[in-house]
Amino acid sequence: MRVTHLALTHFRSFSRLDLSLPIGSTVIWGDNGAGKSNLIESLYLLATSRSPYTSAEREMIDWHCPHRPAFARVIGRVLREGRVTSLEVLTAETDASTSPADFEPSPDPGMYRPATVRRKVVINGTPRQTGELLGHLNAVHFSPEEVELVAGSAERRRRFLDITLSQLDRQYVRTLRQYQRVLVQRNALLRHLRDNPAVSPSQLDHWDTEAVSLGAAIVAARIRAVARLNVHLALIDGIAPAAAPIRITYVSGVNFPNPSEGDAPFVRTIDVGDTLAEDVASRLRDAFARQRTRERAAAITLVGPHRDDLAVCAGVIDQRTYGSRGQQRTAALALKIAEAGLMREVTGEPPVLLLDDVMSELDPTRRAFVESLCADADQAIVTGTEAAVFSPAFRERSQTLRLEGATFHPTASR
Amino acid sequence: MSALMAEPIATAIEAFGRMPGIGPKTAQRLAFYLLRQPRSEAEALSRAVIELKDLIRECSTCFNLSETDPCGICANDGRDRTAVCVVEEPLDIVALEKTASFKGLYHVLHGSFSPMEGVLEDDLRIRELVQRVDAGAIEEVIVATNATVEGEATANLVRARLRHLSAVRVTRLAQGLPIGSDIEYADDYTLTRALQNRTRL
Ligand SMILES: Nc1ncnc2c1ncn2[C@@H]1O[C@H](COP(=O)(O)OP(=O)(O)OP(=O)(O)O)[C@@H](O)[C@H]1O
Ligand SMILES: [Mg+2]
Ligand SMILES: [Zn+2]
Repeated sequence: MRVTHLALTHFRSFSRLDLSLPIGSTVIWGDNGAGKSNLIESLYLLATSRSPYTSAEREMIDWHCPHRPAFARVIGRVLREGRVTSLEVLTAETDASTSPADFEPSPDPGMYRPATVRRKVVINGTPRQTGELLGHLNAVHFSPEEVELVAGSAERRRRFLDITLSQLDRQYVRTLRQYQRVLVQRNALLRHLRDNPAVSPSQLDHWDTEAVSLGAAIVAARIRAVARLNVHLALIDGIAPAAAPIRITYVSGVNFPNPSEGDAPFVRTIDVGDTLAEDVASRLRDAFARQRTRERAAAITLVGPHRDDLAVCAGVIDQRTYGSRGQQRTAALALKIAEAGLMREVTGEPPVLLLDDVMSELDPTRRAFVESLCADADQAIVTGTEAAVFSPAFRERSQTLRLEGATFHPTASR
Repeated sequence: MSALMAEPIATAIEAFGRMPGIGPKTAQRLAFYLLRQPRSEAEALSRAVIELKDLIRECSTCFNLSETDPCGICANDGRDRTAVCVVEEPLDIVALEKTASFKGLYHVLHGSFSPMEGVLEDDLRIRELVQRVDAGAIEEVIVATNATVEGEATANLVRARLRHLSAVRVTRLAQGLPIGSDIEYADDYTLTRALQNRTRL
């Protein structure tokens, strides 16, 4: 699977860009601020319909876009098993008539940031729901900030599992969205019950039913993904022989079953008669029953996939709290490599690797390993501030492009 | 805005803007459209709005909106009095009636179970439904709430409140493939539901 062509219009610092991407590796280098991360972000957006960063969607629109409503358009052509799919993500300002007084003060008077935006997805010329984008282009993204995957909050790790699963299973995205909606409703009801003690609490049961069936589907999918990710983590134990092997565990206040490595094959939630999900559902139901009194006092849902976490261990040491910064970074990289492995296992094709500025942070062994991973993928887009962070052999095999002033200059490998 | 615009125009725009689904731009367009229409057009519109408020009431049996109480459906002797279809809104009845395939009676809940919007069990006409079914003649209750998270929770609630009436069949509308559609183009979710609700050939 690979992207053959990328076209950006008013996407961040690119007012316009047309770029053909070859099979194999492409090295993109340029100064700080040249737009390397923006380019990587646009490719990630095509794969997942979201940004790898937590920033607001409206930030993607070029501050200097002269059109009203202002917009950012990303179009990519994906070649997969001989078939070309055209993917388009349009982020457009919702109502240009809203008064400019709503906007935050901007450092540059010529800069324009819309207050609210909406997203439109077009696949092969037909408008589609955002969720339908997933699965057309599978990508794995890594950048130095990704250390937060290990060092950051539990939310960051849940998002990792959710995005991985979303790319493999569109049904998962729906389930997740519905679960979040149920949570909002259930929490509103809990608040209402706390404030109005006369109201019958039996109304909670009907939200519990929904929360349990949706929550169990999410947890079961995550537990299976964790088991498979551990199989892929085991494959890379040898990269840095001195380092302890990295393994992950699904952590929850509820005592969910934890299948050992490889026990549970990856199945999409679409499969019917799922015994793991049934087991998870019954434990989740019990947990809801046990927590009822505490939840009513706290007026918030205390159990479920939205509270769970992922322990990332090197040997027996939990890297979330006890890893050095460098160890946390390599653990995060290992997770991403395992994610790529899982995607390849499930879809039968290696995902596109989007490696933003990772080389400068790695030791020579891991650099060499990342280069070999790129060589294995159908396509890898790797960035750096100078071409020299890549080995001469790697540059020899790659297309090398220099990014300057938001346009490209093909270069001989330097 | 009002400083630049005559007061009556601004007032009309504001009134339109408070309606569901109408943004500031559409509100402006409507106000200026009406301004260009003949007086008779404006009178007809205002009369329609007033009559809407004056002449329409809720049927005391099914809570459908109607000029009469009981409503036309409840008063119709030709309808099957053993089946009741439970819907969220009066408009849902219009959709179901267009199919001409349901001959029973209706029950309008006037909303769905949505605590975030302040709609709880007591704000829906569920107690009235239970009373109706308790009265005896009804054999089947078809729950036709929306296929949303809220519609699903509403259906759960209705089912629970009718559970003590074991002789009454409580059913839910099936979810599946739209007729005349290609499987290839169905969205995953609909397809999954269709698989789960598959029927024996
Ligand atoms: N919406 C936007 N409109 C215009 N410019 C933007 C927008 N968002 C970000 N930028 C600018 O894009 C520039 C390039 O950012 P980017 O992060 O891609 O650089 P980079 O090449 O990755 O740099 P580094 O080597 O420091 O990581 C920045 O100067 C940033 O201010
Ligand atoms: Mg960068
Ligand atoms: Zn009636």
